[in-house]
Amino acid sequence: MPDWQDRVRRELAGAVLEAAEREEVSAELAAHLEEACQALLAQGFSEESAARRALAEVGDWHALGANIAAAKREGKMKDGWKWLVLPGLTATLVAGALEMLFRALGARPLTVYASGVPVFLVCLPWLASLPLAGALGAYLSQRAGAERRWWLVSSVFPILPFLAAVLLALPVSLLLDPHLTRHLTPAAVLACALLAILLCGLALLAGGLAAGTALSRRSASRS
Amino acid sequence: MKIGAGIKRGTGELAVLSVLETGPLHGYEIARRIERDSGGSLRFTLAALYPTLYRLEKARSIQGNWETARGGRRRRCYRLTPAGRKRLAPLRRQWSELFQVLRRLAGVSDA
Repeated sequence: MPDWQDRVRRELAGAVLEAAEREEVSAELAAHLEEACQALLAQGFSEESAARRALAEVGDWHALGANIAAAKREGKMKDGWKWLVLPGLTATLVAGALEMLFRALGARPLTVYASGVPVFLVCLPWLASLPLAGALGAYLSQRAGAERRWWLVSSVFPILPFLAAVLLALPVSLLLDPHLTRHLTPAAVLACALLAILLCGLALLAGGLAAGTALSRRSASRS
Repeated sequence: MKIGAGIKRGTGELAVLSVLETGPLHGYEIARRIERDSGGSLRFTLAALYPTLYRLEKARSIQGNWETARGGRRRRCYRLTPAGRKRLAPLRRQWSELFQVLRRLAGVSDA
């Protein structure tokens, strides 16, 4: 009798699967092939013929690996949408709406300077309200069935575009704009921008952690 | 009668959900049951069956759990979830309507 597990592992070596997925899929397909082979042996086929006929049930190994990887990826994309993108975008919209609300209410933003030049404005009441947006992101993500890491990222999702912008766009604009470089130390600007993002991130994360932990406890006590 | 690959792909979901309606089965049993119940017209290769199972599992229509059979052999057993049961009824209706339309179009009647 062939070592089915080893055979399947070798045949699926090129499939784009995570290590744990590969092991699980290999074990399942090996169990299928072994059972098919046993059934054929019971029907009176020789060991060689039974193994050959069982292998014929695979079809195309390459198609098998590719189709399974596609099925797993498709699920992940759907999950990523439900667990991260939708809750994250909702949290971002709520954070933006809160900012507009505080502005409309006349809250004055605090100006932060670097090398004597204003670098960013932060509205303290808005910063204090950010945990609400983080909590909403974590709540929606967890309600969709996401694990802890997903709902934590969902809660801080609103800062991700800013972080990307600071890390990519700011260094480029500092290099290209001679006016900026004359008045500012690039390192100081970067540090200030990162500090602002860190502050917002911590506020969002605090709300996300509180909501996510409360929801986890509630579902644990229910079950 | 042999059925073409394109139609088989579309019917895969319906076939898997339908055989699981009778009770939990593992992959090999699902393949055999479909083959038997279709009189040999539908024969799933592993390349067709397992992606369908994983898609349905991701959609929470079925749930797979590892079980240890007699002789210590481990196999993954699939069962229909309440969501899968709910999905099956409209799926059957849609396929039934499609067959009726095709019959009308092709001018085919049951013998």
